[in-house]
Amino acid sequence: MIMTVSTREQPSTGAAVDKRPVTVSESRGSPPPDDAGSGNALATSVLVVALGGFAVAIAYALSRAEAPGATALYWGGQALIILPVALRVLSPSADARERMALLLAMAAVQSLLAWCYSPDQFRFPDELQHVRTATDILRSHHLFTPNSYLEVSPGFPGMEEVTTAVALLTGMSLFHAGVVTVSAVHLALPICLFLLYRELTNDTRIAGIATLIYTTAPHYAYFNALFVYSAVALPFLVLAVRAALRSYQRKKSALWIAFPFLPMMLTHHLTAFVGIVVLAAVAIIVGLSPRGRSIGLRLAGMTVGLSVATILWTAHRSPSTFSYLAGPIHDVLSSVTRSGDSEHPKLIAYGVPHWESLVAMSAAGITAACVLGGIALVSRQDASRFVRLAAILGLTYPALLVVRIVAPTGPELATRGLTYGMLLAAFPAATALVRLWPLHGSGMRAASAMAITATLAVGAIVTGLPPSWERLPGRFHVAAFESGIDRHVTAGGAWAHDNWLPYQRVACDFSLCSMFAGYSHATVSTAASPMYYATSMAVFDQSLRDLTSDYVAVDQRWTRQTPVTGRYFFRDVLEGEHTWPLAPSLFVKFDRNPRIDRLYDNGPIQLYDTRKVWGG
Amino acid sequence: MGRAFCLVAAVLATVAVLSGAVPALTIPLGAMLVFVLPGYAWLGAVRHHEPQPLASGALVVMASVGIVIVLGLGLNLFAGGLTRSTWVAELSLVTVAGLAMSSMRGCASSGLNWPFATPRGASPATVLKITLAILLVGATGGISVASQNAWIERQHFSELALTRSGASPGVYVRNLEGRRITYTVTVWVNRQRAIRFRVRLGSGSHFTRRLDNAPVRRRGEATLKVTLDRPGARSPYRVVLLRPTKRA
Repeated sequence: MIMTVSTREQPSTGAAVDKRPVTVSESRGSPPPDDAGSGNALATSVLVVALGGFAVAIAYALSRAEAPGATALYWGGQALIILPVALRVLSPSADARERMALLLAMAAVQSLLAWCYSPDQFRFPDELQHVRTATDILRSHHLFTPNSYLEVSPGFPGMEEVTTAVALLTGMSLFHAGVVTVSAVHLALPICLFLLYRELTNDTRIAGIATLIYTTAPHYAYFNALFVYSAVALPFLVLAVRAALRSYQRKKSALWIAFPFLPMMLTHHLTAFVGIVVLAAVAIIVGLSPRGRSIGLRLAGMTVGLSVATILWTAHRSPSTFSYLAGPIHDVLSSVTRSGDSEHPKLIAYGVPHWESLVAMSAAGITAACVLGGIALVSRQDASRFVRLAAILGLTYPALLVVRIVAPTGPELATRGLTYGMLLAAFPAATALVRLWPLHGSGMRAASAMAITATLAVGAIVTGLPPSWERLPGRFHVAAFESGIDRHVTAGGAWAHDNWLPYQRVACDFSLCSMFAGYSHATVSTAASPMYYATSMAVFDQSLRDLTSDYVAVDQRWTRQTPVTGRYFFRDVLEGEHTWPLAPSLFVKFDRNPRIDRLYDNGPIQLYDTRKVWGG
Repeated sequence: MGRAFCLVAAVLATVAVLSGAVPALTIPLGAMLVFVLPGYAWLGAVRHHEPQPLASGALVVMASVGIVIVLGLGLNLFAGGLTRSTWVAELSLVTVAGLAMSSMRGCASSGLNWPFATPRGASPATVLKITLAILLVGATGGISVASQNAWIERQHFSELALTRSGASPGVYVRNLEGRRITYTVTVWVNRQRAIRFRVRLGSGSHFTRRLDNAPVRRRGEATLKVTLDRPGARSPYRVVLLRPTKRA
């Protein structure tokens, strides 16, 4: 069964890329492109995108050198990356090959820039959690070594398996092997998305635009180009949903879903559970579609089978995953059910420029409008029931906006959730943009479509990572993400790696703990903040005895900077209350305690051995 | 890319990786063995044909990654585990098996073509632009590495640490000041100066010395303090200390 959402007004590319019967919409549209001209235009766009990447790298270099002009160059470079891709993907005159190549080029530059941000080592805390699992595999040659830094990580070792295989077979370092692995997968993602949306709509223009809209998910450009397990699992989710669509559209066996689903299940828990929900939704809408009842039942059976496999795997290999995932769900549910006394999220994050907040809110509003408009358009068109129902799944986007508003951790949850929600929302939003810029549309309509896409792209940058205070590298922030790991912190981590036994218990701040847990195989304390804040020796001694920490780390820069994240330590009891840096007198106690040894000093950072306090 | 090419690449990768060839060979061939060959062989074997070269390439990469993930679980069951030789053996076997099945089923090879190529070939202008884009990518990487190294090198400091290997403590000094420095190391036992020496270290180098001669009658009865000084810095520049484990 071949379906299309196109109507009389809707153009198509005239570039059907496979041997399926050409639909009415695809037979109409722009004339076949001139091959040589098309290749040359594509090369021009790719050159501009590469120039944009170069400009952003220069901006990074200027920022590291504390030279002026870095911010302007950064945004200029981003414009060069986004605009040519948006222009050609939105344009009715582009063909499927050009759209795919440009989306690929954009993903390639994003991967390149994710590496350029920290080209010598992993620095983002989530990456360091997986560094530890990967190091364990290299060291033990086996999977499932417990990881106290991220307990659920060893149970989902897919990314680390591939990375360690690359490291072993090529001789590259773990860092470079990890960068190559996530880059390869990040490059495949837009193509997989294109294939998914093409399968759904049978229209390469809508497929390209839907993929472009998906790239405006906040975590697409940076977080999902990092060494994190969701980045590797995501294309498998897309391929699993595509396989489900193919079982209806082309009468393929539902068993094909298992091939991408299994590696996804072994790679990332949340993506696997989201995959089950999306596959269940697809099974339902297929079942409700004409001549889809039996296929829907088969899809439902497959989904049940994969659900059982996922639950069994998780229960067997990483049972703590259930409580790990239940926390955020409980937050959202309790926020919805509780009355006005619940804690509300900060919709505008601390320190974010006002224009960024304005763009972020505009982007959210425009996306919601496009999704709702797209659903209305699809329902009014002569599309099949299956496509109309698929468009309704785009309501996930407004639902995530509600989560953002009501839950205490809403902004983070919604940002992470959009990685999956945009999969469903991109199709109706793309339909709306196609309607806005039809084949023979005026320049004004084209400019409107471009302006919308540019706003969404800027919105994605300002709501995604890195946050505004470390969007450009080079400035140190205490207890931060990448910007919290400078040469002093790295040196302390390296010394600990060389001198401590694995699994030593350590009290430290957010940045130092990332280093100690990731590279030094330490077990970091998440309850150390009262010990640091203790003002009397008796309370301090008791806190140390309660913690039974082997080592304690102190960074004197805590007395000079407030934490941009709102907390110095994991589960900081004073989180959000740090309006002044910590008092230097708080750290004198470490040198005055007669049972504490000061083993390491590099200026800002001192490492103390506290085992004698509690008899360790 | 044809089956014969894939087979030759698998054999070459196996030989290069197992023989520990130069990185110029092991990096591309090892990466092909992980990211290309298994997926290419098995997508052919299951007759999944995607005429678009970019789509075909993406599916090959994801199929390969998926195969590696599932095979890793298998390797984990063996005592040898996930080592270089077991990975090479398993991935080569899987690739050859996929190619054999593809050949038996008479499947056509998928075309992984240069996406900028047209039926008449790429024009000189296109080639020039793509060459420039590649050069820009290279420059982007080069500038990033250089600026990151410069940023790291600008963070000047020295490390002082006490190490405890065996019965005696040791002192460790590392120069990260970006220039050669003559340090003064002073060892104090119960606030009395016991040892003092100078050490000259180049940037990036370190110095370790066991304190066997520290005049402590019974080890663990005194406070051992080590200070590090360098010209032009407040004194003491760095301090580390070991407290007594037993009361004297």
